[in-house]
Amino acid sequence: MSIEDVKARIIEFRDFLINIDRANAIADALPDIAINLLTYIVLLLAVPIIYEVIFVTYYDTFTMTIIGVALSVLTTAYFIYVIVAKILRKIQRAGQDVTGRYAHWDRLLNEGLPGIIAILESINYDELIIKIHRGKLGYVVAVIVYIIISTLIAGFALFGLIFLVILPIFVFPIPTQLLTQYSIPISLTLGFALTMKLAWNRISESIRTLWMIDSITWELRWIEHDLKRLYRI
Amino acid sequence: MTLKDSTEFKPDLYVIARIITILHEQGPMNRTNLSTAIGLSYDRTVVYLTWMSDRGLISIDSDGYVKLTRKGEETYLTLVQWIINYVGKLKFPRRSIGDRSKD
Repeated sequence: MSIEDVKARIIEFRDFLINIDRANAIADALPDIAINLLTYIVLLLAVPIIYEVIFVTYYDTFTMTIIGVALSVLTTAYFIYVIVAKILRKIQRAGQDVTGRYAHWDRLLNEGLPGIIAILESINYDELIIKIHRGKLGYVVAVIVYIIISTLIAGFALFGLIFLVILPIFVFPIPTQLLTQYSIPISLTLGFALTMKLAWNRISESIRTLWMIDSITWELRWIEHDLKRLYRI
Repeated sequence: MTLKDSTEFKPDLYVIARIITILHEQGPMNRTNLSTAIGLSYDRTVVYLTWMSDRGLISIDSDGYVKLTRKGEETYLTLVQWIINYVGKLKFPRRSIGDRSKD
């Protein structure tokens, strides 16, 4: 291994720190994300109940169709608003200001050995290890949010595909009970299964990352300890 | 500089590494050129050189030329070896949950 290989490792270290900072920023945004998601899930559960209540108290086929369409449009619009405008933007913003923190590392790396030492010296290891532990929480949140959002998106897509396109083609009229009571749970279950199938590699890699983070904290402790020993040269 | 000043001086490892690396790569040079090469003021460079000379890392000849001693060369190799041993063996996860760069 040469100094050039070490430089490459330092760049990986920087990417790792950026991810940890991002995960910390996500952990900071966790209350807002949770409120937004819970609000949406409550709305999603409330819509069929509202529909049922209106169905029982004020039955009229035409009105019910209008109300059904209106509720679907409102739920979809709110879904897009919550996911795109609030949660995804929050996660995206969380990552925006962290990359600039390590911009000076490129210049230091060009200096070779002294630059690498300067980088290692500039790190507050106690603070970093606290950040790493906290970042793990953010990382778990990011994985869960990713699964939930992907499930919701896939669920909506499957809902449209199955209950609005495929079923009306092959089964008409669609049994009302299937459409009102089971369509959303079926869509979400299928959406979850699809998410896990498509994103399993990424999710399992994230879980492996969480395990690796623990071993990295030990390695960093050793670096800090031995860096102090270097001063005695 | 008094002996007391020299013992209380807390050097920056980065500057020492820069001095050692430059002397290792470019060979002996005078103090003025060395201070320019490391980007430090002349006075500050002299403080570092005195500290390093006290520890036998460098020697300064009568013409003011600074060169690495055997101990200084060994220190350079120790630093390189340390960096390679510790940083080289670190393994970092390469992407986060939202990163699609390798898909």
